[in-house]
Amino acid sequence: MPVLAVVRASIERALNVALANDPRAKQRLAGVQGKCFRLNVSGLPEPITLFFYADAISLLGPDYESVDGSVTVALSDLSELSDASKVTQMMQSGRVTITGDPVFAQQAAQVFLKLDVDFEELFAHYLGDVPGYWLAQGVDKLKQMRPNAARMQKRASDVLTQETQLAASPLFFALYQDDVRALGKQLDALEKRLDSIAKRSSTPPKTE
Amino acid sequence: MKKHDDSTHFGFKTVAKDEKANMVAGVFHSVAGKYDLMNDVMSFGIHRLWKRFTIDCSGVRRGQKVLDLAGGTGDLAAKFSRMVGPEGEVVLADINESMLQVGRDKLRDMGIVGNVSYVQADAEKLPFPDDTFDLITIAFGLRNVTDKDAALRSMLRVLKPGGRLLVLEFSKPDVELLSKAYDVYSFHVMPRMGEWIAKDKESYQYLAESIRMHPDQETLKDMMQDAGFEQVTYHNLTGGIVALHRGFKF
Ligand SMILES: C[S@@+](CC[C@H](N)C(=O)[O-])C[C@H]1O[C@@H](n2cnc3c(N)ncnc32)[C@H](O)[C@@H]1O
Repeated sequence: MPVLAVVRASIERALNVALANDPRAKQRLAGVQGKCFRLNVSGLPEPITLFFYADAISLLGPDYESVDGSVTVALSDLSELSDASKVTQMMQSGRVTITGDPVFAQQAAQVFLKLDVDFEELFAHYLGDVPGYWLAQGVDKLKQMRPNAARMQKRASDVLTQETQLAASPLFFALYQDDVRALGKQLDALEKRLDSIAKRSSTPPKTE
Repeated sequence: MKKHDDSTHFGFKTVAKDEKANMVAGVFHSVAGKYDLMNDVMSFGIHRLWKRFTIDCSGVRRGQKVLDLAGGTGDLAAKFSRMVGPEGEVVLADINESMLQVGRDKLRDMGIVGNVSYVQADAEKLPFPDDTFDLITIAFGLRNVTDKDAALRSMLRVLKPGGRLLVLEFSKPDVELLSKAYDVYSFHVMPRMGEWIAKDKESYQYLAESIRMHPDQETLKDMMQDAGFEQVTYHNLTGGIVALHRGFKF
């Protein structure tokens, strides 16, 4: 979905600014450099796919398939993941699935845990305010969290529905068939305007 | 009048095959300096999203060897360079010296050095040994190539078994109305913007015409299969204004 691609690009930029401003980020990235990690959170519009470099990350889309490790977890269980003592139990009960080296998953998380980023703000763009808040808590305030999971899930799905509507925003009018007729008219008008301006300014341009 | 076998399209004009390469070269020499700016303006920046999707579909990994063919100013090469890392290699190849120069300067300014090399090459006759690359991308390049079948065969030859080709190119919008609106945009607005911003109406007129003359989704898929690519699929982007074709060599 194009809107998600735009959002992905802006989150990527924000995370890279934060990484660049963190003097110890390179150290943390060193262990995961050249690898790709995917976080599948059921209920989110797409998995979060991170490719790590020496000093930055790329946030890739769901079509990227060369993933080195992944974690799959329900939105409602996400916050528990930061508690290492619970992870084994969660794996045994099937609430979290890890593929690849679990140490890699931990290292990937470490890259972000210490970042000076307002994750709430950041993920709000991605997911809408409520899940954004929730994910943010998942990243840096996990221990105090007592979310009402069912309510969050419902709100998340509401937000996603809104996100679909947002996808047809004017900026992306060209992408959506319903708006095409209007686009054609606008272009006709624009063309006429261009014609008249061109006629008015038909004096030869100055050469430098 | 019947078209001779040694003729081809240059936009809507029919020209001798051996003239087209020079004419295309003229276009890209002329637009090279303003190419990135015009790309952003004319696509409303959406070309960046099309390229992001291409990266997503590349599956490229650390240590691999990538050819960004007709790579021009190197948007894809820059990203691949980071993904393949120091153990990998990216070749930015283009027939046009001016575009290569702009690409080389841009990547150097971005701090991308070491694992990228620059090669002036014609897609029809790639100067690389057989089975060299894990991935080849050609973004908005194939429609400018005179003999597209020869170029596809050449790409297949230099691809490693298991490797993949990604062709990102303008295509045929899948909705009639979108198609019409897009025609208005590309034939009237695009050349005019080219005239104003890049002071070069003709080149942008050619670009618009070459988009229309490029094979549609299914035709390009057949061409890739005929060249020997397997598991060829395509994905429409922006309602088919652009399509990403993917094929493998096994
Ligand atoms: C529209 S630009 C695309 C540049 C870049 N790939 C991008 O997506 O921004 C097309 C490029 O194709 C190159 N080109 C045209 N014919 C070619 C050929 N036969 N072999 C290699 N490159 C060619 C041009 O020089 C130009 O740089």
